[in-house]
Amino acid sequence: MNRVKTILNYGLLALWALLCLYPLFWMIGASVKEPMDVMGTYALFPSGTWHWETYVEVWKNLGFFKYFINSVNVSFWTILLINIFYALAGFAFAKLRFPGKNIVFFGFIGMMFVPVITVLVPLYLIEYYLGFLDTHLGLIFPMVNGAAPLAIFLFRNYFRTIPHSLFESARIEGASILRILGQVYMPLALPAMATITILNFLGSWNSLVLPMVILSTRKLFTLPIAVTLLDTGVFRQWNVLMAGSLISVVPVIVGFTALQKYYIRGLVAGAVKA
Amino acid sequence: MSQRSKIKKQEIVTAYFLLTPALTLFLVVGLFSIVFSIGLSFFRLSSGSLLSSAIFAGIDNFRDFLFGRDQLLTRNFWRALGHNIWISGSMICFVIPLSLSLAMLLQRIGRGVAIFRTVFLIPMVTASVSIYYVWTGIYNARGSLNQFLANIPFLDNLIQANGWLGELNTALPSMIVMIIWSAIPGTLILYFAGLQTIDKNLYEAADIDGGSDFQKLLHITWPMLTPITVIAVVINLNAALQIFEQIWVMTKGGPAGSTMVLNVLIYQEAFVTGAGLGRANAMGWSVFLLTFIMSLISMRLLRDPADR
Amino acid sequence: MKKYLLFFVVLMCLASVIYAGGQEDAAAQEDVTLTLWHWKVAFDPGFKAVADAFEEKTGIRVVTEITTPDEAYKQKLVAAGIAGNLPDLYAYWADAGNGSFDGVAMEWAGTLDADPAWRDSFFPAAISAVTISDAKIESWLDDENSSKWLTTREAGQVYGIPIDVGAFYTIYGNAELMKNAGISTDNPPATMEVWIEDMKKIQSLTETPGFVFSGQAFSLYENWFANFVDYMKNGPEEYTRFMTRESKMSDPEHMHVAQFLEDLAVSGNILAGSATLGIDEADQAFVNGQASYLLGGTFTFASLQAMGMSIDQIVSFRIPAYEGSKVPDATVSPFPLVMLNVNTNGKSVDKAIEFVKFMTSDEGMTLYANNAFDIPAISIKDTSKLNSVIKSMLSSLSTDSNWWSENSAISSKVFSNAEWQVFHEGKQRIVLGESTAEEVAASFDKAAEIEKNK
Repeated sequence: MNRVKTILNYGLLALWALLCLYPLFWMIGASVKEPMDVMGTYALFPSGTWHWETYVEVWKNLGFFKYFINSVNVSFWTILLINIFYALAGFAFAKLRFPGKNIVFFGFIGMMFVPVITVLVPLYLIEYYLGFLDTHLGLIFPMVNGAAPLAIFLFRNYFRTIPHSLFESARIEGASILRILGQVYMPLALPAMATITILNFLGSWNSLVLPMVILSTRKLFTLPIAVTLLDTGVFRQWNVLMAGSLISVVPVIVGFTALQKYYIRGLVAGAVKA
Repeated sequence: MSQRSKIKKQEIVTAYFLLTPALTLFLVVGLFSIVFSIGLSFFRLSSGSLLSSAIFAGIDNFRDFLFGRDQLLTRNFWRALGHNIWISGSMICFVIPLSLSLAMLLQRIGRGVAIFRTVFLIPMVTASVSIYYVWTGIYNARGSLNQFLANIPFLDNLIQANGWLGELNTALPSMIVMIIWSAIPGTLILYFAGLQTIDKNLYEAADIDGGSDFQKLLHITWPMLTPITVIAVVINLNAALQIFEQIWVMTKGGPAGSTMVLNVLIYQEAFVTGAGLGRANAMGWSVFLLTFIMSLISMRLLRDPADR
Repeated sequence: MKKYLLFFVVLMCLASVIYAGGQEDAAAQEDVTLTLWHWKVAFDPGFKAVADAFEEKTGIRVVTEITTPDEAYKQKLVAAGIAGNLPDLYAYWADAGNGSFDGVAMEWAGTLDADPAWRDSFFPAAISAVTISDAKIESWLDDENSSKWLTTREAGQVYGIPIDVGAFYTIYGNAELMKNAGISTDNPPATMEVWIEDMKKIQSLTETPGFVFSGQAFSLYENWFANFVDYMKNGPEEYTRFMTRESKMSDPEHMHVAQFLEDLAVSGNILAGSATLGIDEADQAFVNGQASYLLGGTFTFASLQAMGMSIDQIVSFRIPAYEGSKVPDATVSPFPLVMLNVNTNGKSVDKAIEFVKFMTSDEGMTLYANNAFDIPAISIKDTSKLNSVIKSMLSSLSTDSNWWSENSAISSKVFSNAEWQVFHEGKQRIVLGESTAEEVAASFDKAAEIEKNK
């Protein structure tokens, strides 16, 4: 009975895995087709030769490392600031009592629904006044700010699952709130941080519209913009764009695979301690 | 000052101190954009004009699309809103149970968790214009889906001659399937993390009482995950009401408006026909209000036990 | 309190580190470098070649910055316009007064008149399309969203200099399919009726549908095909009445706009899925032999070639006119597609003007055309250095100005008038067989009536 169950579990997971992988295979297949075939035949893999040389070409034209460093710079600081800023805020909302708490909290949550498309124009305007245009900071700040609602919500909820008795006993012993946060809560928050990091990292890594509007100098471009500039054809070279996109997400996939273990370990550790 | 009120005061000071970075950033980059954009929705301004050309229009912009001052736009607005509501409903009904089931399945198996988790993130990792094009290819008249159906007896009458995104009846559902596909990873991560925080002792106690799997789900897992579900509902609701990029890239709202959603309409208004930035902002903030209210309702319905 | 302070110091440090990271070499450039924004990756080699030659001549550097696709570029320009942060030079979709940001763009009428040799080197139609006309001013006056600045323009003003030309209204045919059906590839079909018969003939023999076009692109059928056909059929007066909502689509004179699609759709002569095809995909389908004729423009030819079709596999002709048309021989004079605007608040307006003049000189346009693979906006005197394909495309274009090219403000109603948005959806419904031509024409007329009474 248990065996059947296990097989069924794996079967269902494998089915979903296949649905996740199919479009990826499609992308790989398209990237090695002739540019004409991508839009013409729609078969998963090319019928004739596999044009791996597209990757060589794309790699040569992309200038991968230059833009990779930019993407890393933007994503790294975005993630770091999100985790610091909103862990602090989430803790305040979860554990402290202060006037205006609900208004501020729902104010932040409400920010999630701000219409992104129309806010881009005023964002450009304020960044112009502050001198953030055409800098990485001009990407990092709005990205961090945009992550506020979800990150605050998650940190607050997570800190709440940690028993309040921990907080109270430390208070009675005379520890300051900041010390309790730093020594007791922050280490316990690792699983929440991991979740928030994954969610926001992918968002900032793939972000395209904001960098396009804010950045103008080629030197500062992030990988996704660099990929859109690969296509110099008279008609859209989907094979080149697919190869470029794949190259730009390989570091992410490799990174995740490598960090998986720590992430899961962190989750489990967090669960036990809580 | 008594000891008690001193502690209280210290707590307030610390709280605002902890909120300082978040609030400062909001004041620097967030507040201006929001106030400016709300303000603009009461002005008439075509895109490609300067601010000095803006003319105060009162609530005319809102009347344009809400109450038929511009009949065509009003019709388009309400139709698009209907599509957004369809998308929200489907997302909540499918993304949440599917993500939760997958997270629970993942938790049950021993080996291979890491591999499955990485693979399950792929829809999110590859989220870019290229992946939208892949889906266009899958749905194309001569694309993979039709080819697949052609090979299976009895299913070949499902083949869509104009492609799955090309028929009035199948375009929106096909878009929704793609949207669900790409929304699952985010919710899955939340549930997966949430499941780890549930005390294993609770399940053991239930085992001793002879509870079935379903009873455990109903009485332990689901209630313990309520805070996560609240976030998941709110995120998906917001994603559905702000859906844009996929539709813009894949169908531009067509055919014959069958996949037209609010943000595509707003975008067209603001940057394609260039008719009115003011009106586009007015539409954007109406959607904001709607999303906010719907989120508050869903938060209330699924109230976190800790809030009660 | 110390801890709080320390904390702030750390935060500030973090912030300054990132800031420095982004600012790296802001101080590096001192002498005047002009910035040019545009949105076409394929045109960048053209702009760069011109910029290089210009730097060699004058020592002034022009740096190009691309934002792609079109919509992202437009979004960036709108934002930059409001912030007052437009670059020295920016490309824009060519149309009178387009992208002028209430006077940020330079007005050229005086400069053009001061240099008649330069002015006359342009194709007449190229200049007339970017010159503000009375009809244009009228259409701004009609639109309540137009700024005061726009509505107070004067006829004859020019806010951008065209850098290329092109034309729509071109049908490409698959020579092999035509030959197999016994259709002459030497002479274009005499009338629309003959052409439709040709399509049906090929379809009955090979089951290949006759026609493919991008039904997804907004107003492509309307602006590349229908308005020109209507002009030929009814002549300028009646055409203007139609565009200005005096006549109805359901009138027999104008019914063809919807009827053409219905005829083809009903007889299976529109490629399945056309309603959702993009421009590239429609071209592709034609190259793959999925349809015998394609709707396109002069620029389509380069795409077809790049996609692997050779010259002798393609037959091209101007859209045929219906039998009994009033202007069956209307020539298509090329109109500008992209123009260059100069920012009057830029670092050095004089140098920017110099660049535009250089770019639209014989030398500049040759460099641009060869490297961007785009048709130049001026009639180049010495064509010896011009790429042979461009040379042959150029020679096929009529250079005269005529009613059609002088009245683009009337034809562009298909973009600005809301009833055409209704038709855009109706068109897709006809193609899908969901609506009849009568229904769509009626809904168009109803929308036009409402808009007219507003």
